[in-house]
Amino acid sequence: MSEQANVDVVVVGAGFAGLYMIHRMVRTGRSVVCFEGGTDVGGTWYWNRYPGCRCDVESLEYSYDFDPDLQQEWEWTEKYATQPEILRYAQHVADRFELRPHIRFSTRVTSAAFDEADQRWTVTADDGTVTSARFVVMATGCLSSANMPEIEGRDSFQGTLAHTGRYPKEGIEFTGKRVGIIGTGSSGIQAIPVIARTAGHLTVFQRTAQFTIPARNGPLDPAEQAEVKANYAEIVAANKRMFGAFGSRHRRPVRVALETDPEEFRREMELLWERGGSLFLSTFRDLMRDPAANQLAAEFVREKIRQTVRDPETARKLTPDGLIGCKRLVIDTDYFETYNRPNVSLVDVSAKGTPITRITPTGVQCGDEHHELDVLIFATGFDAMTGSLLRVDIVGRGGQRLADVWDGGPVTYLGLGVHGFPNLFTVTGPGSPSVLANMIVGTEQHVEWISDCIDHLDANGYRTIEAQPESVQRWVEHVNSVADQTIFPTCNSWYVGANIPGKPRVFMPLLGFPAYVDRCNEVAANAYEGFALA
Amino acid sequence: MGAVSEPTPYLEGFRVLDFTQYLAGPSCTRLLAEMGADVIKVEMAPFGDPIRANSPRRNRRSGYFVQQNRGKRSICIDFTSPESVQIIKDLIPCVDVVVENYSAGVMKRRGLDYEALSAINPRVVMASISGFGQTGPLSHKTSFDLIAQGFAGLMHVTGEADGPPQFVGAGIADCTAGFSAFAAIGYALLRRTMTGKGSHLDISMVDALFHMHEMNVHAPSMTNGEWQPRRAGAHHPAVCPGGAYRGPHGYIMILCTQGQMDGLWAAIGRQDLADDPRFVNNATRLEHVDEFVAVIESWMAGFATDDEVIAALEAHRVPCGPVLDPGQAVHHPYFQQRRMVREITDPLAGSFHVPGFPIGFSDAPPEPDLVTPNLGQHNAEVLRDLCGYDEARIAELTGRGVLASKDR
Repeated sequence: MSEQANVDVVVVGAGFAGLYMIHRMVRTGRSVVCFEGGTDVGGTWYWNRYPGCRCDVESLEYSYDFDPDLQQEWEWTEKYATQPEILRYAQHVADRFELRPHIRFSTRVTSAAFDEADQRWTVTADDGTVTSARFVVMATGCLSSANMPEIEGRDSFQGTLAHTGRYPKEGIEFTGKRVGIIGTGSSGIQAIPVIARTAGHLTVFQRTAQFTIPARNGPLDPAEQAEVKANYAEIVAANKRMFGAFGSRHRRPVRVALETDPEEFRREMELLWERGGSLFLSTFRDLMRDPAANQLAAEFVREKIRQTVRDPETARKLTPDGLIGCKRLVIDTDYFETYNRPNVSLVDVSAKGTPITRITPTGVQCGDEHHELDVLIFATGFDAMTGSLLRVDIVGRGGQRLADVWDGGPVTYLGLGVHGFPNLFTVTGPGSPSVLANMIVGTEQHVEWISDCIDHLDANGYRTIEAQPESVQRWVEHVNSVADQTIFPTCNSWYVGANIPGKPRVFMPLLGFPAYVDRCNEVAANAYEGFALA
Repeated sequence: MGAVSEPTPYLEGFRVLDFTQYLAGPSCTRLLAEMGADVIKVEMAPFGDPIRANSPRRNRRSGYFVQQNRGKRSICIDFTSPESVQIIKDLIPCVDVVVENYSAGVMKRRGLDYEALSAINPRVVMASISGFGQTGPLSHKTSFDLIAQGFAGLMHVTGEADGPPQFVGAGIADCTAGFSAFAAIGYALLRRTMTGKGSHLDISMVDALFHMHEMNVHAPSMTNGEWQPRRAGAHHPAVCPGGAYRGPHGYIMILCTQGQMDGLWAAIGRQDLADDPRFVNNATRLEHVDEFVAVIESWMAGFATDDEVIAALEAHRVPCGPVLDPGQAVHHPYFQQRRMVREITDPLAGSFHVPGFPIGFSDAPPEPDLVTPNLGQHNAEVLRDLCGYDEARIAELTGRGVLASKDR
């Protein structure tokens, strides 16, 4: 089949970013086609179907803001929505705004190449279609490219094997089974307590002990939902002034840990622990800047782990050293409590313990010990932020490939544009707050900025926009200098790509949503300074 | 991860319990609030800071109060009630700084002196601002700015020689004391970082002003009384030129060192006077100050505007400037560009001008959006968030009038 279509905009990915991008393009009278590898909308929330999968931003804040009626009518049922509920929300949005006709499901974009002669992109998909578009918007998501580590014998396993980020739609039956799970990042920590409830036995292969904070999830109080809905505009506006674009309703007065009386510090941390959730580190301004301050909070959590886990040896293995929040701070439901169950055991497979030697047809071999398993789950995360972008062969001006340009790490201007790739936009790309801010708020801000930018080009008779090399260089320096004032770059996190062998070490997200948005708005107001318009 | 953004206000995360009223204390905590501190103003029921009633007001809101209290939170407590002291003591563990400007002894009578507060929180830095200090023979006196201006000796040297002493037409004693406390608090916090211990800072308005004398103390002492401080009107008693010269419209300030005199003579086209025995050095000029002033003012009279005079002087790098009417200053590019005049918008009083923040920072965050609190507006929020009081207790305290509030 060879079909040649002409559109204004190609959108890659039908997650929350892609859906809103389609909507904006349709509403501003542009022709748009969206390619989606899955059979349905939802993106990250389509692929990550593992048990216990939830968002760690409160549902009422992890919601689109662009349509007041949608905002008022959609009813969330839990404080932190489960993946199925978030997926239903995505489906509802797709139906409500009639976006599906613009989406080509089960179709992956294989390449996108910029043709300098007619200044258009040629987008080739795996269904053989070729689409010509003025603009390409990569709405490929930050956490959707599953990372499957190469472990010897992996493919020899005869039981059921799955990755949390490519979890089978029909689910996996754990009842009575011997289940193993590798990885204790956010996915693993969410899945472990749920799997443990039905599994015959669950063996957790822990590569790195992890800091995690109780979510204190529960049914959403209808009165709270009504109150938020009555004040949605103010709350959204206040959230946009928060560091991570969420949590303004729970904001606590800011303090300085190292300047605070130890008793007051303890009281505040207890209160934050009882409240739970991702704002755990937000009261004290020095926790993410000063390792000495951070250790106060880290030690507080280590103590909680020791208090919660009954077996001292298991508690020791579960207790992370190092800094809290430096890798993604996980929030959980009954994670540490789960290790008090008789059907759960923990194997430390870090260098300090007994690393995995190989995967066998019947289980996992760690040194001398073989763990017999019926099911093996890889909760090993993602090739974050750049993985999905680079799965598409993107070829810009002069035949240069994005993969080559980013060989030393991703370089962008504002996380929106790349020099050499005119009219290509990345939604929540590296160099933007992305994963360190409320993703829905971040995608909306980007989609609106891109949409306004296209309006500006059209209104002024420009055909292309391209990030200038100096602005890219300055932006990368800025992203790094902001990160360097914090402890973030010091840890082997996926924020720096440390989970993917050979991935260049670059701190990818930009810290601080409000200052970032101010900068984006300033750039737009100054006729898109830093971009070349032609 | 709420607390990493860039740049952040310098004092974000520091908390100040602010028992101040009128001007001296509030001018200090105003600076702390503008630098990002969480300032909780504790006001006395039923009316709060008396300056809330100061005119002019718009929609019941005093401009004076707004200027000094933007960005603070307000709790209002009936200090005659037995629980009031306990409420304060419950707040002390979670504050870094206490500032008060009651008459000396008032905090002690309430059981809230430094000794009592540091027993609860040894890290607390307390600044007491008063007219005559916490110690000494006059610590009992009540005082206001003008009392301090007189007592500190400033007024004795201000005004015409044959006229009455005069005071400076701005809150110089209050604000200098406030600024002294502001600076001292910073260093006390720096020291606390190193020692873990707070301290008590005793700031008197009289001291703050007396410290500003440049010659009036040492010169009589060094000359065995030969040099005496005196009022010399519009011209400095020890420097000539150093004073206000009548220009075509208003007055123009000039002050020159000996080295700058050649520039002045060149500016007025009278290099010949450089060697005039009357004007040859500062001492001779002081002896002939009236003749010197006449020379300068007659030169100035030849110009159409003050600006032209100033331009002529500046062309020869003569230190000079106009005597501005503050009303003019507001629209002057200097004050505009350095953000020293800010148009603020108050929820009650609407928009008007206030003086800006007097310190520039290389990496200042965007100007904070500072709102003036209504009386007792933050009673519940503060006691809930900081002391852990529950709603029932707050309602009970409110019901009995221990906590008060007004919608202004």
